[in-house]
Amino acid sequence: MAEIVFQDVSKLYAGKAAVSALNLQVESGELVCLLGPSGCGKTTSLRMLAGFLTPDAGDITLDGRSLLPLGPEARPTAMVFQRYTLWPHMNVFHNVAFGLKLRRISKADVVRRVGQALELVGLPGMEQRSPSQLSGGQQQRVALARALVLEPQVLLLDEPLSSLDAKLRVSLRSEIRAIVRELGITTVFVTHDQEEAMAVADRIAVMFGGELHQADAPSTLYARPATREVADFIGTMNFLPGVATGTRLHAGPLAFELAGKALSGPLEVAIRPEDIYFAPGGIPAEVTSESDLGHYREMRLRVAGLDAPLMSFVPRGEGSGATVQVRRAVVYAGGKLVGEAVPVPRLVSR
Amino acid sequence: MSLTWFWRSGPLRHALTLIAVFAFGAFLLLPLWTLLLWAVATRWNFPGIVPQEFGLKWWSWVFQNSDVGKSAFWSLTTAPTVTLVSAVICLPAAYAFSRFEFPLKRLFYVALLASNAFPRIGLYIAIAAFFFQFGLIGTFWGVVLVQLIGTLVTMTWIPAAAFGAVPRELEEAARDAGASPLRVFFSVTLPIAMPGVIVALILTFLGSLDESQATLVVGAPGITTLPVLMYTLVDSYPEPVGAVFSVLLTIPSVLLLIVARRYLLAGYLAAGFKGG
Repeated sequence: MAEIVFQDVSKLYAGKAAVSALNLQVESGELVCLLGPSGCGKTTSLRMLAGFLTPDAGDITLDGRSLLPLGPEARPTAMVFQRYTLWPHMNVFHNVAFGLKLRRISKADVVRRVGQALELVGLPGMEQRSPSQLSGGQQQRVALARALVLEPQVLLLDEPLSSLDAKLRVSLRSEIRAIVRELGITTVFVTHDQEEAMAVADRIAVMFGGELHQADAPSTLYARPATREVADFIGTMNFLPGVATGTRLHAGPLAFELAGKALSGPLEVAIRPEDIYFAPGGIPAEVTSESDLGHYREMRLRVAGLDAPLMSFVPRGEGSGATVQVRRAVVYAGGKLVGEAVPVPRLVSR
Repeated sequence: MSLTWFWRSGPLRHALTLIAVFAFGAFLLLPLWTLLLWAVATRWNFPGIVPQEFGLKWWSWVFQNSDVGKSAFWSLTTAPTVTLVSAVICLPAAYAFSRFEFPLKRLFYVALLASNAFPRIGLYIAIAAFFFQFGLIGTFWGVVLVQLIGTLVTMTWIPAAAFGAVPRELEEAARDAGASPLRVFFSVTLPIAMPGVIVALILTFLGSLDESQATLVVGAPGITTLPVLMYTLVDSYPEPVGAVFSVLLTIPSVLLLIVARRYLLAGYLAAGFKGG
């Protein structure tokens, strides 16, 4: 069991809130990503959990017991850092064995456990290498082994892949996910890369300006972003100004039915590019620019009655047409999600 | 155009490089060479380029002088003591300067230079008057104390820079693995900063070994170190005596540099961080 709870946790830097009233629960065995642009408070939150920073208000608990009285050396957490991860004056064995030796474990056990940890991260037999002989990816694997060898209750990853090249990042992130799954260890993973978060996380907690906007499974986060900022940050989104009257919603030539809700006044309609598709009988649209991204084509469409162009992703093999239809949309009022909107089949009115 | 061709093609360039290397080497080595010649000369009159007579007469004279043995003893006890005491006082201070924020930090940091801002000899005389009241004049600890004034800057500034260059993440990773702050310092920070610390230790040791003004003012008459003795002897004896002393005083420096070479050239500090 290792369940983490942030309760109204705040941290001030020079009078400004780096994290304000964060409430977040990480279930035992869950992998939660803290996601957001730089300066959003995600790393500050992780460092408070690790014990390198003290919250100015609130509490952080592990299985109901507060972690705040404990220093980083006494917390059952182990962290993998973004940069400068390995001690350059120790070889791989001594790097991984460092924490074990502090725990006064017998020499034979240390050797065995270091060997197991290195095997787990795919670097068996690398004990005698010096950090300078390892590639960036190998260094991060050793850092992971060094964290896991202590059998921590909580694994903390602070942008562990951001200094690696793109291809390695993708393969290492799925490996990390597999290892964490296998061990069933509660993990908090900080990243600014939304694709990385979507790929590894059970749940993603999205933060902006020190505030938690949404903590949900990747699919929910994508389909129903809780705030306009989340909608904008995760993937690509078209935002259109709209006006509601009752359960009807109009955004230029587009008409929607609000799902079971009556609203009034100005709103924002958000549509994913892949939910705009070419089909006969829709709204006349003109392709103004197009770029082929391999597995799909990115098109900018000019639609009569809309000020801004619409972005559409058209899968490979599908052609374009004269009119587009919308599959689904979500609606924001004052930046907050108010519901989903279903397009009203367009009546042919000439 | 023809000139650039000639320059690129080599002969001129190589010749100039060679001349520069020789000039630099001569600048560095000729004084040392002269010193060595003087140390083994018994007669060297103008206009001879090399001494007219060689011999080790002055070496035996120096070794038979009872003051020399005593001075060597004081030199070889004060210098290590000053180095050790400086390290004990200054290394924690250097760490604090590099890692913690405290009121008036910058003022303290620069204040270490203050002792270098005045003519030293005036400072030493004022200190000597002060020491006199505490009975520190002519004592071992009086000499150690006054020499510390000169070594504090070196022993604080160089290690502070070395500690500051150790990435905090490396210290945090050790804390995270379960090490106490003290353990982190000795297992991670100090070993990584070691090349800088060793440079500071060597400079401090050599500075103390070479110190004469303060030792003369505070140490006399009880404590006479080799440089102090040298000052009194070069005035009343021929040149080879000074040369012999210089060679003797060079031996510890050369030995230290040989011993510390491994640390000074250690490249692991930079090499380990390439993944970052």
